[in-house]
Amino acid sequence: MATLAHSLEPLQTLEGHTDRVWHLAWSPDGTSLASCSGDRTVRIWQQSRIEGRGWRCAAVLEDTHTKSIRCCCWSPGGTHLATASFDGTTAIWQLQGGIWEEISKLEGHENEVKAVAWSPCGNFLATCGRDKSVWFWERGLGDEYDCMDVKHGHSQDVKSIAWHPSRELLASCSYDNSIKLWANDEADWVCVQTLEGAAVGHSSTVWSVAFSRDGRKLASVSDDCTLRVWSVEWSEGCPPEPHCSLAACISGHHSRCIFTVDWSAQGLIATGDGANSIKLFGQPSLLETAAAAAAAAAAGSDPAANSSSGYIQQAADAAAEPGTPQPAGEQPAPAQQQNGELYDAAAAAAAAAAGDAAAAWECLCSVQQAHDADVNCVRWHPSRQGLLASAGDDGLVKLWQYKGLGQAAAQQ
Amino acid sequence: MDDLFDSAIELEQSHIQQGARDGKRDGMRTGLAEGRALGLQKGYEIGMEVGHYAGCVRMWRALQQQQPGSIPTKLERSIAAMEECLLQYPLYKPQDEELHELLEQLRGKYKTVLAGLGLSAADYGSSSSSAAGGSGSGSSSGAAAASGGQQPVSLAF
Repeated sequence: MATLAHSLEPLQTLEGHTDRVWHLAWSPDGTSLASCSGDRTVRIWQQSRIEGRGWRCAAVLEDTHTKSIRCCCWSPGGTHLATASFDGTTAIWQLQGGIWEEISKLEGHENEVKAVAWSPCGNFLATCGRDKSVWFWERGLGDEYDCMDVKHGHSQDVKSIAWHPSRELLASCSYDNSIKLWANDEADWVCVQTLEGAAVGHSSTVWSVAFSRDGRKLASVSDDCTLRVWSVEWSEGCPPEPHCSLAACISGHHSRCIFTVDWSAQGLIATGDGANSIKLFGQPSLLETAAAAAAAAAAGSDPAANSSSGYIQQAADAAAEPGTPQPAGEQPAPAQQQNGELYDAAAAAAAAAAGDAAAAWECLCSVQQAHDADVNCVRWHPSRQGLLASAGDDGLVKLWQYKGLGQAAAQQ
Repeated sequence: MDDLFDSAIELEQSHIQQGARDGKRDGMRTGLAEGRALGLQKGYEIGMEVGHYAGCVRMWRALQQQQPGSIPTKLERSIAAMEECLLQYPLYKPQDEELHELLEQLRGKYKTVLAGLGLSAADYGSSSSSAAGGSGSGSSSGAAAASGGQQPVSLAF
């Protein structure tokens, strides 16, 4: 196995916020980055059209929330932005004629709202807060959001929520050390699973959860200094029921509480912690096979097919592990044949899942003092490979570029 | 010689056994009293909360009849779900496992309806979980009066 070289290079520091930056969100088309802060504003950053000028602040959303804005989230269509605040409300903003305007305010939480997340289908909004509840809102007529259901399953402050990328499934995590999965049963939301308990669940506050881009895995990070990866499986029934089981517990890398986690399109995990560092984790064996396939594909076919089918390809190759010869000719197909390629890979995915889960996780690189204080949020760009944004208690937003083996071949 | 030491050791043993018996007896007595007081308080709190929700539902239904259109139709599902929970509520089965689950469901639906009406829990004289502890102060007198009668409280709609 060749040694992989991984690095996270600083690209730019975005200054402007006058208090800690809590959260970041890339717009779905990747042209904008929203950051929200204790200074009660949201800043929208966009890349300057002038070559080499980098990112600059294009808009400041203010005068709405009366306390810190803890979380922000784009609608799937990129037309709206939701902001969750310690003032107990969630505001919905819309870009109209180049100006961001607040079009709706969701009230109901008894105290601080900690997170807001739009479902990928765009029909649901979920919020969670210190009042231990998770609220589900449904989009009604004319940009109205109606409260659909209020769930009291957690016994403590709910820190964060994350939607599955393709199904109506929400994960929530809490100060009560557990992660709960919520699914839609007609118009009611039910807790279908709670990830907790000795040897399986976290032993302290779970700060953040994130589903992988293909929805087959869930990552969670906690005050117990571990990063846990769970595999998500669906039963055969109608409707299919989800079930998560612990696939890996990565410990010993963080000395302080881990606050944030995010998956890249290539299956890398970025974390930010209370020791001011950003660390990247990956499964080197899977990365190498993906890189090899990508290199071969770049030589012969449409490189644009790589990033989206990259993980599926990785899964198909992993099906051959361990020890058996790699299947020959498993090249990622050009875009027009992509559906056929994905179908074949999906058939092998069940076997691949065991290989994926078994492949060891390693810390690929670690940036000490990424910020001068706690790193509150890390987010990978939705499409540009290796572009990572981070936000910290130092009031700064930083952009980084990840470089690893296979990056050169798959460079877009 | 043996006799002397035996009786001394036995004396200690018998004191230990007597102490254990006394402790158990007294413990059971105080434990029962404590448990009874706690049960009374918790029962009152749960009764208060469930009663509050039942009252609200009854009031909303009456409002719907007298002033059609006053309650938005989108809330029908949540109000109906509350009615369902209230009818099933095991008020007289303290060991029923559903006790807490149904209460949580009621809380959730109640908040959903309030949000739909544009109101907060404070507007309705909060009976939400956070305030449940505060209402305990007047519990003993209220509970004593209630414990006399065995008539089931009618939650019929």
